Amino acid sequence: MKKIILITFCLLPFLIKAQSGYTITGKVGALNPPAKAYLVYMAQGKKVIDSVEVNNGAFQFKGSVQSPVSAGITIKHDAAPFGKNIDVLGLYLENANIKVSSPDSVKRAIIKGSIINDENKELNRTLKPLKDKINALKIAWTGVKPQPENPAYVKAADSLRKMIAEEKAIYMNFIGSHPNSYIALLSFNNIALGYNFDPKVAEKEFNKFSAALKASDLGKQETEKIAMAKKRENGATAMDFTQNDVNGKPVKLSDFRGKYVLVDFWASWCGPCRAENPNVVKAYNQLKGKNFEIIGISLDDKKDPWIKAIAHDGLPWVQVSDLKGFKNEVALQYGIDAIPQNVLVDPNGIVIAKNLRGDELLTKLSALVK
Amino acid sequence: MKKSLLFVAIAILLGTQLHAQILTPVKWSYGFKKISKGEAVIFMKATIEEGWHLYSQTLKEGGPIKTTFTFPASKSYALVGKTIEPTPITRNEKVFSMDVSFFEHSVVFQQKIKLKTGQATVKGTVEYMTCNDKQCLPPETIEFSVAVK
Repeated sequence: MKKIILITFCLLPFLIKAQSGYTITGKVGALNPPAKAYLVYMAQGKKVIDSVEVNNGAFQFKGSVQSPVSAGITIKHDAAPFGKNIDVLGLYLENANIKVSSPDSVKRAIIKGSIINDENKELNRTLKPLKDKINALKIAWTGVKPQPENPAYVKAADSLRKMIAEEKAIYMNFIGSHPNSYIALLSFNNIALGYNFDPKVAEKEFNKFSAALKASDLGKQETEKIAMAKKRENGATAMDFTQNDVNGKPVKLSDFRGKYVLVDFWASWCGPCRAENPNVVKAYNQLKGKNFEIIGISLDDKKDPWIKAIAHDGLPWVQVSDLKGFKNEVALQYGIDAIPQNVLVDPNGIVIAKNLRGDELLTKLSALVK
Repeated sequence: MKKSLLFVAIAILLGTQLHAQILTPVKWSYGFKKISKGEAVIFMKATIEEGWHLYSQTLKEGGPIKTTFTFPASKSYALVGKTIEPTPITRNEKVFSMDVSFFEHSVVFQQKIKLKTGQATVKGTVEYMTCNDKQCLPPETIEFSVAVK
């Protein structure tokens, strides 16, 4: 017994070395040429397409990927051009010996030998009952405008909210119990680092991932995202910036020390931002003349629509933009990856709140600004 | 027509933008169909997640950013007409004081081409933006390439 363990350990370096690339070994029915198999994925921003003949149902792809990617295997069963019944399998590609087999079509194939795909399957299996219920509810209410007075609508909206929370809990549970899983890292990116996430909570969870995962490309991106969010987190000193107003006059955040400043990221083309504007105007008018100011930072890239939107929505506060769209330098500095977003800075230049919307904006501001 | 849409599934990459953004509510896939010896139609299909909107190519300024397809000039094919789209949903949006046309769930854009040499690799880009009722994501420009044989 001991010997076997010893041998296994000696072999380990070789096994790992053998895993420096991927091998996909496929078997789909008993297809023969002209049947062909295609493997497609994205690597470093480029599309990679590999194709091989299928002989007696068998095909093989070899290569390597820097980090796991989602990929597609398509089988062209005959010489005809791609028809409406495309046989395609979506999977994750990682450096492993992956076996894909099916008696008839690749879309029904069973994937073996790949931890990532196993984990993905496990996660999807756990989520499926809930996802089915959510989809059914969404389909039932598709195209229906909000009807706050309709009890059936309120009930449906309420149960949807509950199910979405439940779905998130399933993901978080999976993430918590799979610190070595790339699928968990990927889920974390989607679930825990979304709009308006709390970087302190996220960091605590993120730190539970293995060192190897943290060092992966995705892991590094997530680290950066958390670091970025921390810079605009409550208690942080608001990053100073200077940007020109509509007349080309520079406006500097730190010149507003001594006042509460709402830094408001928006754009003329952003419907949800425009819908929020009347609310911001209301808050501004109520607090006008007190130690409060708003700096609107527009992620527009053309001056004309920007100016028109300011006039249309009647925004009296200072407006700045470098007209670089989402590449607006202040937006990049603050890690703004969706709008609207805002940051409330206190008279000492410290961030004290963010993404105040709706009634919350006026409630919070009225409590602070005297 | 609808039934004969030939999507080259090798271009269907379920999560190609996996690393690009947190949210990817719009996913693109491409295909083509030869309609005669010298002509083909390129299909660009957007699959849009529930609640998100992709905007029509015909939007006027002053509202959301419209979807735009660009095809650089090529020796192997020529464009026939503009990129066509199905009838979008049009709503008068109070916040913009204008009609806004958009698509939800999925949409197929089509570009007819004339082949100069019998086959062509059609390269193009699509610029688009997507919003739901709470937020808008940055406009994105995606390159694509369809081999017409």
